[in-house]
Amino acid sequence: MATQSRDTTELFGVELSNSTVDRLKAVGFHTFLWGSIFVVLLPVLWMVAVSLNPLSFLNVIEDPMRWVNGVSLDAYERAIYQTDFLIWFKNSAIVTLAATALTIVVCTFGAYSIGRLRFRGRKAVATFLLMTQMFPLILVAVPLFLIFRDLGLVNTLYGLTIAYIAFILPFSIWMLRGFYENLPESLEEAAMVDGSTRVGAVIRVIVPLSAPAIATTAIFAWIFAWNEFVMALILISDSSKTTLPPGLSTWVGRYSLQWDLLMAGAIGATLPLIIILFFLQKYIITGLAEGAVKT
Amino acid sequence: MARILFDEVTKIYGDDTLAVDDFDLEIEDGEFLTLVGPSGSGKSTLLRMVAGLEDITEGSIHIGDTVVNNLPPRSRDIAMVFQSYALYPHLTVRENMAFGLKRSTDLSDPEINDRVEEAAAMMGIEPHLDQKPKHLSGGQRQRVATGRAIVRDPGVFLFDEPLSNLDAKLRKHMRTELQRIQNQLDTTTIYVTHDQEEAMTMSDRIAILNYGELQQVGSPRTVYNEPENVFVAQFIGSPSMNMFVSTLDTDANRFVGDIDVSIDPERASAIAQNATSDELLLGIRPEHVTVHLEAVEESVPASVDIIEPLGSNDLLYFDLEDGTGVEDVIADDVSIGEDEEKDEEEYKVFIQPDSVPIEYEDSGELVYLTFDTEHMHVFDPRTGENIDVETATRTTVDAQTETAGDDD
Amino acid sequence: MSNATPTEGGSIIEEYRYLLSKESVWGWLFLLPTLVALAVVSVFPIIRGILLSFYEYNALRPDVWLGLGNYATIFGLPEFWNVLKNTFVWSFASVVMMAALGLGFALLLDREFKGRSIATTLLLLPWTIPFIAVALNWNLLFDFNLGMFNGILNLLGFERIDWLSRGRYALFSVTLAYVWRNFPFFMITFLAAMKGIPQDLYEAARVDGSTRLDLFRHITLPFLQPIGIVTTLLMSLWTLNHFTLIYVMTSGGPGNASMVLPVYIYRQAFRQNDFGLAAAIAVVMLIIMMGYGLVYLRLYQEEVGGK
Repeated sequence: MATQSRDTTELFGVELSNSTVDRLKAVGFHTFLWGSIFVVLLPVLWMVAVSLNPLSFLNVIEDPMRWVNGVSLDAYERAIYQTDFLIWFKNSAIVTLAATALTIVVCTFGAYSIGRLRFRGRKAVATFLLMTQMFPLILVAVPLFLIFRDLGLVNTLYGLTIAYIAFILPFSIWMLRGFYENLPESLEEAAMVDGSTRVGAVIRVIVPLSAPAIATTAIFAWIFAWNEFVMALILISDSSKTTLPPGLSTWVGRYSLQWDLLMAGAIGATLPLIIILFFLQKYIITGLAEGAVKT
Repeated sequence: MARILFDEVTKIYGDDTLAVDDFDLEIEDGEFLTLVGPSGSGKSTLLRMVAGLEDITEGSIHIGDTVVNNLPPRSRDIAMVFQSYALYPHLTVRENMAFGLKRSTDLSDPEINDRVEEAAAMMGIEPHLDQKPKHLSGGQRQRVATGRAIVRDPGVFLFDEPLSNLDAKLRKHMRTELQRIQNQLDTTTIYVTHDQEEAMTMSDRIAILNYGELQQVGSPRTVYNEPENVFVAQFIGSPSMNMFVSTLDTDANRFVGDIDVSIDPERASAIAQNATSDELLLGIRPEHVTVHLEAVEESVPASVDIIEPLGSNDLLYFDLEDGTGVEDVIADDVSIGEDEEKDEEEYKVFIQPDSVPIEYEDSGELVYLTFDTEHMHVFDPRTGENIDVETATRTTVDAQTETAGDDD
Repeated sequence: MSNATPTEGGSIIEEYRYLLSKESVWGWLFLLPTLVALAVVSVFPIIRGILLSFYEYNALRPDVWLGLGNYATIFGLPEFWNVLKNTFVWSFASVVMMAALGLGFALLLDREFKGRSIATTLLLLPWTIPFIAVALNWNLLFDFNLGMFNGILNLLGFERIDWLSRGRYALFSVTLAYVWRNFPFFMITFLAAMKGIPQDLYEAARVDGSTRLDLFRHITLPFLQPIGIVTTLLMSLWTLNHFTLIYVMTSGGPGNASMVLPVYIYRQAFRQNDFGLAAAIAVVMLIIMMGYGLVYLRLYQEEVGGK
């Protein structure tokens, strides 16, 4: 620093210039923050380490070079060629993509209705949507299995997709609604005076403007569908039709000592979401700020 | 081009909020009509009913020869400029202006583009055609919003407080510009504002609203010089009209009270006939009061509160020895257009700069006022109506037969 | 006013178009797909489930009416009360820990510093890991012989712990994994709320002589409260519903030591094939969740005066 501050502060009995104090504080802060981040990420790091070379924690600490020397992608190869991993991954991708896309279409209009239009019954529907969040998933899943079995939808990805849409919708609508409420109403009024229909105004004006909020909603939908376990477990019985979560859970008993394979599978299941996080992180936070958690 | 007719239009929000009450008005083809009133007076609601953005509870609105009650906004041949401008943030200026033409006409893209550029030239925004609204200043946005309306060449322009987001200087400038464009295009225009000055300077006619009721319609001069009631008198004109409380002594042909003035016998008896109360409100605009430093005949003493220099003339605030509050005499259901500040009544008079020494301010030193009774209005505090034949609007039969002299 | 007879309000098509310009018509039209989806996949199954809870379900023969028989059975099961207790402990402990961690990290991140964006992303990372991967990952961490936790205990000179198969630790271990996965959700909602606090409030308070603690107590916390309340409600409901970690890591074991309602219900239905009993337990769970949600919302409305 070129300018020397004359102000001083006493810290632990030592006279220090203010700039030194600031620097010490910054060092303390960064040490604490990055230390915490390291601890939080340790399980992930360990997951990666073991997928490359399945050694015990103690072995690695005692002799890190032993881990380095034994690194291989063998577990990933086995996951790909010797298990149903790719099939499950594909099924997960299909169901997640379809459920996310359809949810967005349906909830864009649903949220517009609740967030923007004034009509009798709107409040009741909004309350009902909140109430559906209080339904136990399992209470729905058990009878849904019986219903889908009668309809022949058990053991199909269609059935699973339909179930996911219905589950994602209430929260998605709740999120988007908060955002729509903040858009100036005169925008779609202007569009309607300018010759648009109501639907035209929504598609040409409201949807382009709420793209960030829709992206946030899509991320949440994606995360829900990719994670969902019970429905898939109950509604799908064939290994060739199931998705990653129930699929991978069968490995726990079958490959109980092949930790490298288990970790490789876990990492494979995580990758699509990590990629989304890195590209769309800002949408998650701003989207939440503008809509999701508004009351 | 279109005439607009409001036929007993009523708007009730929810179950019981009466926003517009039995509103009748005809607007001529090509006319510039301003709806003015305080917030909550129903002026915006009326405009939005013309636009089709609000349902009409009762009555009907005609544009041209069509009842438009049941037409959606896009079928009404209107264009609207919003207070917030409502420019589509994701579209460029060009796309904003072309938006309506694409939806409502079969014009080809080059034709649309020509019209957009023509309108942009008219509004002086050609350099910004390919920018997004967020890069524009407030004034430029206003021009784009207006340009988006004129490019459509609609039968009716609707303006909803279009200048209220601009600073004072730009607002005055845009006022003239909007007027120029309206003159040039000669399109029927409804203009909503809460700013009486804007209404005065721009309109062919002004309709003054309060609590959903039409108070008076007329040319700017008419509503200024011949207000039909206390509300219009107080609302139109800035600074607002002074209101004094005095009793009419019919024997002496004099008003006695806050201020004492004499009037001619004919006028006095006519007023007495119309009055329902002894105490009456005398309305005199600040420019119709004269200040003297010495007592003169018929003058009323007053103490000087503050002298505000305005440039070409000064505004002197004064207090009377013992003034009766207007609030004390006026009926509860009669609305006087209160000042925005809503502090106690203030009496004002225009004076020549330095004609009253600055030391008079707040010193108890007295000045003497005389009043131009020819420009004095007399209101009945029970009804709020102007009961003075001299200055009441000439459309009433009484006024026409008994008018003694013209004001303008 | 003018007496000219105007042509009456357009054609039938215009009238129809006008109907479509009504907000109530659009309101319901736009909601239709949502309501249909929810009716088919949410409301109808719940009704079916409630009905089912009064029967003994049988795949081949007609169901047998039991009245409140299933309810009598479950309330008589000692293990049911144990599961109920576990469910409450698990949900309450998880939510409290997640909220505390989330708030702590949000406060750390709510300032200007180099690397803030990457720090946020890294802290958000656990939340993007699917539960199934978390379950596998933490199974490894908790492994008796190879795991990291026992490795660390060993290094520090402590006894190894059988984290997942000892009754005392099983539920705690799963809770730890769940908290690790989900605290970032609290963190980002708090961060989002902090972004919305006007900076001039802090400046004004500092000019008025407030300490850091004052700022936190009188500005930050009140602004976080509404979001915190909503997030806590949602998170409690999601946690009550959570299935994956417990199912994969402990299956509710050992015994029923880490058993919670969703896994318990699943087992009754698909392992014991007793759909009626499972439905009855699920209905009890519904009553608990609705009761909790509604009381919570009521309290919230009194507290904040929210909509």
